[in-house]
Amino acid sequence: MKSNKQLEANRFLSFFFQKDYKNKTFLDFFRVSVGLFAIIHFLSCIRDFQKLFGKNGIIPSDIQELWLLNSNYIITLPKIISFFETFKIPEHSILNCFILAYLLFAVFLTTGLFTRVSAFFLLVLQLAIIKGAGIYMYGVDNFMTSALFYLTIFPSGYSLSLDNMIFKNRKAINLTPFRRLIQLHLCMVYFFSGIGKALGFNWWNGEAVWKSIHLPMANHYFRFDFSWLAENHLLLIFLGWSIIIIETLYPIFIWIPKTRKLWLWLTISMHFGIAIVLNLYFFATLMIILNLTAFYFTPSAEKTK
Amino acid sequence: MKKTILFFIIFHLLIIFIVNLNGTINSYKVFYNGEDYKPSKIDLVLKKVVFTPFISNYSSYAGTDASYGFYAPNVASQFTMSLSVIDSTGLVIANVKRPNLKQSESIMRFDLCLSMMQQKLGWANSNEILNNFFKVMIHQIAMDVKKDFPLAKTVSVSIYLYDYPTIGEYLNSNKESYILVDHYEF
Repeated sequence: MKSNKQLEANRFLSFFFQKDYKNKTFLDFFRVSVGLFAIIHFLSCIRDFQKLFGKNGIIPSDIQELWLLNSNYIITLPKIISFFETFKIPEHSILNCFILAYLLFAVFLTTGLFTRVSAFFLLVLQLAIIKGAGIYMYGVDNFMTSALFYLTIFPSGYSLSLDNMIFKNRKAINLTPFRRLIQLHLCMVYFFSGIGKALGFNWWNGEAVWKSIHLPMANHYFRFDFSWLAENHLLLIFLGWSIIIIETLYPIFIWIPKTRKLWLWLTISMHFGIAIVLNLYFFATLMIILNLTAFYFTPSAEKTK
Repeated sequence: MKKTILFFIIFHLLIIFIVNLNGTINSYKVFYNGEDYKPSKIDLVLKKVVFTPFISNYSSYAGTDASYGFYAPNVASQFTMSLSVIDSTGLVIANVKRPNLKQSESIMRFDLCLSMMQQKLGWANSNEILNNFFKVMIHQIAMDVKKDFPLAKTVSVSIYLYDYPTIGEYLNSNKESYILVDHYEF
């Protein structure tokens, strides 16, 4: 009995700490793609940056603060502006410096220069933006914060980085616990997303899919005509059930080597659909990056188990 | 070292679990009972844990402070805005949907500010704080639009609920409609 318990404990520990010093690709891919993503996503709002995130933007920060309960431990962009304004520095100069700093740290992160420090400062700047204007926040922002948080705590400059070239760090690091954390996080993401949908009757009868593809924010660029789906509403039901199944059962099928690839591509296809139909390009791209990081670059031993 | 890492992983995942459990229960109850449902003991305990200063700060920095119930349990309705800029003679100079924003991602982000209208409508009894906050917010948006038109005297703002027919209604030839839910003059 005791040895069984010992065996279980060993299996549990080996799940998190199985020695893996070689398969660094997932970490390189994660760092470079999140860094590039940060740059592109940031540039996608840059021309309206002041209007959305400035202290005196369309909805001024003091009004937003009435609604958002932010902790004192979070430095928001309006707080940064107020601080520097006491030194008679105008808002537009502060914003320009902020923009420059964000892009600089994102380039540092992508190239792997002072990697973890850059990731940390980028995380602080990212939080300053989204917590200062939480009224404009959506799913992608939370996942971006999580990605930067992970890049701060992971040995993200371990390989394929300027840090590695300059400082020649040859210390071997076991990468399994970091991979496991992202993997388990993603499992929770999809499980709760799927369960949440399963609790709503509209996801079972096709109405949720029908409604989401007809939202004003959706289908902007390609202008697909979805009216034919009303007469073939079994397809809508199929889509609704598929989404619930893909998401809720993700934590099971993504771990089975035989179904891993299938589930990964089903999930990626779902996000591709979200990007094209719902216009959530950035959200979908980041989710695809996270999925590939977690489950595409798995060690060969795990693929055949 | 192994113990520390393991402790951290379990702690981190536990927070994600609690935040999501709270979020899932909350959105389920709001969907079936409305915004002002009576919370159970479990709801209150979960909320208390989630809003503990340490947990809430940690989850803000870790990006785990929101639950992952996207479009669940129901796809939220969307609201649209129509702003009419009127000059001193009462003539409508321009009709716009939102302030002048140059990039599509900015437009998508900006439109999210109307999503709190869902909460406003969800309360069975009128919530004065929410009503006032919403009025001040819309006032600021109207003033931003007004800045772009030197001849503007007033701005009239209408908020609409976008109502797309269900599959059955669509097959009975019902078309999309915009239901007026609020109107302001500034």
